[in-house]
Amino acid sequence: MTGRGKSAEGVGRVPVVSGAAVTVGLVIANATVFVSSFCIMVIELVAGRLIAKYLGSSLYTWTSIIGVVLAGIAIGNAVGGRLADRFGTDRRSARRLLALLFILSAVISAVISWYNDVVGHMGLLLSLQSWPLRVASHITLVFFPPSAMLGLITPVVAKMALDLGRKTGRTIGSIYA
Amino acid sequence: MTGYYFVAAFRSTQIVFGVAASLAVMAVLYGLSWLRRA
Repeated sequence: MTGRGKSAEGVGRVPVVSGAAVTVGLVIANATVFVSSFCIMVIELVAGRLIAKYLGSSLYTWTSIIGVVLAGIAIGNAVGGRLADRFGTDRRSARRLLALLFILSAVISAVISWYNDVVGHMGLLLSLQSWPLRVASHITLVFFPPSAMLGLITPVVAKMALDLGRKTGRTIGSIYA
Repeated sequence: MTGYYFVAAFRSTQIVFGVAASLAVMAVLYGLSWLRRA
């Protein structure tokens, strides 16, 4: 990582990184996105079983789960891009940001089960007359935060991978593949 | 049927803890990588 911000010409210049370092960096980036996406998918599949003891298993529950998780990923991606621009300006700060995001994701994932029980006994939700609304509210409260938090990771990794200096299309394509 | 749901929730809790552990490992790896470059 050289040349960034050192002179007027250097601003926005693609950093010079050796071929082996680029390959290793891309493998690490791909592995990171794989882990975060895998975790989102596991949480999505497990969600159906976790909420079953409160809401059963029906078309409403699965539709809500898929919708809420996709919305969480979308909003997480949007916010994550801004975070990457704001706090992931170089590789070191991007790593610090990723460490922080992974810690927060781990904490939120660890409390899902407990929080699901809390929401399951929440009087406000139990008093809702509309069953689909109750299902959607429960799932949004429990599974939107972890989905959005894990969705924050991909744009930060994508920016870090782009800073390695390879072609934009290939880099983004391999990250999202 | 209720018992089935509770067992399923218990197993799912274990899986969610596994996810949290994986994410914690990633956090440690990136944290160490960040500290090494400090």
